[in-house]
Amino acid sequence: MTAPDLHPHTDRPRPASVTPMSLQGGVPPAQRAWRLKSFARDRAALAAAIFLVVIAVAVVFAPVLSAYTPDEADNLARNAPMGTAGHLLGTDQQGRDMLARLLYGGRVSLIVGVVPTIVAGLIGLLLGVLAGFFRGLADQIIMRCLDVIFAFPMVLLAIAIAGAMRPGVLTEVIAITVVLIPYFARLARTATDGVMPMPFIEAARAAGGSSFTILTRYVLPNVFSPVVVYATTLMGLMIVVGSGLSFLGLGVQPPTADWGAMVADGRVVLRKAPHVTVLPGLLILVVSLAFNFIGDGIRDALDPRTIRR
Amino acid sequence: MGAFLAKRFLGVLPVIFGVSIVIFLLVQLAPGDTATVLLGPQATEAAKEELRRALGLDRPLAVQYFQWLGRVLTGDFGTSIATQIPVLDLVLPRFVNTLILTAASLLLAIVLGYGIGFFTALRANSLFDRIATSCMLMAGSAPPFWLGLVLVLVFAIDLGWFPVSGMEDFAGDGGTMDLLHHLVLPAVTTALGPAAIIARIVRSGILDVLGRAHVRVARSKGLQRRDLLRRHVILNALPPIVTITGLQLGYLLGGALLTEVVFAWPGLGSLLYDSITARDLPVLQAATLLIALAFVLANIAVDAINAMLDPRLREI
Amino acid sequence: MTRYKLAGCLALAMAAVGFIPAGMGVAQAAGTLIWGMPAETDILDPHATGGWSTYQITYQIFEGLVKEDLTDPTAATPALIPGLAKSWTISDDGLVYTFSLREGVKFHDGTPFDAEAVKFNFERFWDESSPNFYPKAKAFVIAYTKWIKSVEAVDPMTVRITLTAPNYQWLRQGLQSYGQPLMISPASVKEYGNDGVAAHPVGTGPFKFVERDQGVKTVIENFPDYWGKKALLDKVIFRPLQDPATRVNALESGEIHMMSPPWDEIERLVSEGFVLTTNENVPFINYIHLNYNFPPMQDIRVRQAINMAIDREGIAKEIYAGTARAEYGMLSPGTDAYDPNFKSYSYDPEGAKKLLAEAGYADGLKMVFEIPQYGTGEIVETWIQRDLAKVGIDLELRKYEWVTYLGKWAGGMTPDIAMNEIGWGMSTPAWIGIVARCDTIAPNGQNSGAYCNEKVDALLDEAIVTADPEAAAALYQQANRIIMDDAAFVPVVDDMQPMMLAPNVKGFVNPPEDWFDLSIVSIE
Repeated sequence: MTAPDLHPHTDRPRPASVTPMSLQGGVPPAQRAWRLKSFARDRAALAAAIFLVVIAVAVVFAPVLSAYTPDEADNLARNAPMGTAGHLLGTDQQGRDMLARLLYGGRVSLIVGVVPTIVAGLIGLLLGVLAGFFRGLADQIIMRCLDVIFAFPMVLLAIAIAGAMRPGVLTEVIAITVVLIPYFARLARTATDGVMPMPFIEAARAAGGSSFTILTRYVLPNVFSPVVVYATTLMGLMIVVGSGLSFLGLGVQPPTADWGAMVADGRVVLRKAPHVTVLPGLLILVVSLAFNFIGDGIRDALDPRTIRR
Repeated sequence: MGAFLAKRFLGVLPVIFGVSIVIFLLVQLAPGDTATVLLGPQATEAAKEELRRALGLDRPLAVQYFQWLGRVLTGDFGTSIATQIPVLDLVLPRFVNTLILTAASLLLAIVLGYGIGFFTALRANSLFDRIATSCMLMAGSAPPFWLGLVLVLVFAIDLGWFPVSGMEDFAGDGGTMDLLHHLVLPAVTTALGPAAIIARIVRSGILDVLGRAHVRVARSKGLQRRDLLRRHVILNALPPIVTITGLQLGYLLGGALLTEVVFAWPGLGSLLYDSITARDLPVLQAATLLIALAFVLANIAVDAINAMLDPRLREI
Repeated sequence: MTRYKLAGCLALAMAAVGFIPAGMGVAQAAGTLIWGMPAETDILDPHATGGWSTYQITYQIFEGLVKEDLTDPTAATPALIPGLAKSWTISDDGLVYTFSLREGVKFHDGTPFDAEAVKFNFERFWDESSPNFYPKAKAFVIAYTKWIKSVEAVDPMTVRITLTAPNYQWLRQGLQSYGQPLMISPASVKEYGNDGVAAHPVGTGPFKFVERDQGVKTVIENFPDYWGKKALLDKVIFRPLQDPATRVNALESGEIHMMSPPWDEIERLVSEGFVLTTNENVPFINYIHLNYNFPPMQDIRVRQAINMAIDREGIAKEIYAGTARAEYGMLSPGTDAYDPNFKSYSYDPEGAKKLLAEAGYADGLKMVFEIPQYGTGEIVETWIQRDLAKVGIDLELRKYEWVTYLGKWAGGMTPDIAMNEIGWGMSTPAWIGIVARCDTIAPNGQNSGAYCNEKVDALLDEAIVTADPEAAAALYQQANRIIMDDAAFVPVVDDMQPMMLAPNVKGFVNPPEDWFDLSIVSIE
């Protein structure tokens, strides 16, 4: 929990601090085991991981856990407060069960947090490694294009892209993926820079390995781990950004719920039924927090510089 | 320093060129036919065809881009589709309002972030440290639009201390106090996230420096605590902190956009939101371009401050 | 250099902090009405816009030759009264309208109003051969101008307009949303250009335009040289506040004086002393176009089943909190032909299921419902979605922002879409033809579902040339009955235009129209 320099909230990663991590990629398996144990020793990260698993399971088994579907409404029990008989977490403005909507809505919110991060991570990894490996013109073109995307504040670009396209979950996923790619690409590019001068690359070249072999067998595996770490730390933020797009009406469309859209729905009855707004936001907060803990935990476990207290 | 800045500005020109292309293309993503939007649903096909010709919408994309760029460079962003008011007249006052909110939030984030980070570091692992650190952690993970609503619920609706929205009270007598009164909740909402990150970085930065050899030596030499902090700790911990604060700018601007929507703050964010809802593409373009330009300039400013603090960076 | 820049930015911010409230702060003048509107209004050019929320502003600034009297809340339909024409005659064949203009009327810019000004305005929105012609205006005022054969200035104070065919609703048709032939100062159009009217609206009304800050406020003030009864208020500020919760809070904290309340807050606000006004005769139906190009919809049993599946009374009572009335027909309220007791299909989900089974859809039916995006959430639409689910119709809601939606609605539905919806109406019964005639099938008119019954067209053709209002009303009612026998539409509810007022607002009248006369309002 101490290393400060790669916080998910920073708008630009600081690849310089990541390089040392990639330097020790390709370590013997024994050391990997140590990392897992180290992660497990981080109690906060472990608790967060367990919490997220619980949430994920709950969301997947929403039909089992909830007596209602998210769209079915009790027209006579609208805006029911928490603790109402039959509606543990109350109902919303349309008389729909809050628990059901939170569970089903969590599916979309988690997908929007996780999928773009993974997709952007893979695309960014590929672009960054290619740029760092081949250098030259390709490198210049890729990195200059990414610079342009960096010139926008992340949320602005996501809003602008989603706003120009038709609203929907796919739009939301595409918008977030596009704004994330440069962050991953720059990270992967710097990490590749760190790997290229390594003796084992030299050795592989000397042994007559093709570019493709070197790329896939030696470079990619070593760049992979910082990208994974970064992806984990970003997921928390992306849940927040994704819910922001939904809040603005650029994401899921009714009657489908996600947590951001639920916050927006609740505004109309903020005074009358505050729980409709407060509950989904609280969930976004806790899940984003959990992702951040896990991200920190993984980073600490992978980073030998971390001093444990 | 002058050479450094000149180099940075030159380096940023192609980026701004790229930004203009992205913003131009953004509108091509938009569904719907511009002619239909402009003429209304009752327009005849012939009238639409004529308008398309007049606007050059039938020309190749590249030609359209350079025509658009030429107009933008002369300050002509067109007129708002929704209200037929020149876009520049709409955007500029909003930009000032966004600057007010962003400046206030930045100030607040720095004061809160550095204050909390500093004191938690000095009392590391105390109860105060744990409570403050957890609170900031929560604030940093909270979605800003939701945080704004919760603050409204508590401080505006329940307690009635602050107004719910807007930048001025039309029924009141205005004045600076009125503005400040309206500014508090939106600024806090926007600032809390970045403040949390700054606090966290400041805390670990100072802890890091406190653990370094020269500080331990100075301490063993019996240096006064205040002098120790001033001479050795703060200055040494500063450069990365400034960088991180600079990095918060993007987050701050992005957060301000959402905050503006929640609080109906008449800035570029709420304008952007309105223009999206109304499919007012010229306004969407102008607002996006302006925010991106401001962001690019702010980043240069941050780099310059860093270079001032650490001359080694100027050589890059 | 950097330091200077930072200091400069800071100074700028400080200056802005100090300057803006000083410049924009509005002192609480006695008689400033602040209206919290649910949306930003669009183009303040009455010839070039179709939104009724915009008319809520332009009605105060501009006037036409004829006006609707909006000061009588009990009228079934607003009476036509002299506006800028002090009187008019209609020839016996119903073709020639002769208007005697009011003398001594001045536009807000001081220029006089006369026959030349009338001619200029007609050229702007009607005469394609004139240099003053504005194509965009023609696209909006078309319902009025398509009847015109010629416009002549007989003398400086007399204008004669000849129609191509008799139309006894023509004067009324000029006062509806969708482009109004109101009088704009010719001097202002010449100065600012046709597109510039929106930013510089100059009319003859009781209020004149002061300033507009899009998304923040539009301000109008008392026009002291108004020809008629002068407005009581000094100033009106229109504030767009999209978020209903914000509007409620602003009303309670005294920042605004009137607003349309979110339905769920009506009860509480009234108990706090705020005043709710409604009007049963507002020409506004929320209804659904059923798409005849969607194959299953060609079966009348499917259309009837949808009509029977929707619990209109429940929607009016539960969602609208009593500020709407279940509607079973397609004649616009607020007209002399409207019959509030008209009934067609009552709520009968079992019957609907049976009809669907007979039509061969016992196993259910999938449909797409196109709707506009609302700031308040799609609360009525999701209710309808659930009602239809109960009879086995799986309804997908497809949502578009307003401008795109309006384009789709006016363009007509593609065969894969089952239905779309809209809420409007007019204070002329001829409105039913705009949405239901064969020759108004979209994109030629607003019959978005492509309903066509020659009998309806014949009845409406007869009605429009019938000078006797009662005989005309009977014809309109017959057409309405045929349309509902065909189950061509799903009328849902009439909106009774709830407005919530602060207790110190006096003299406000909620009229049978979608906009208000603010000149009779005052603030205590």
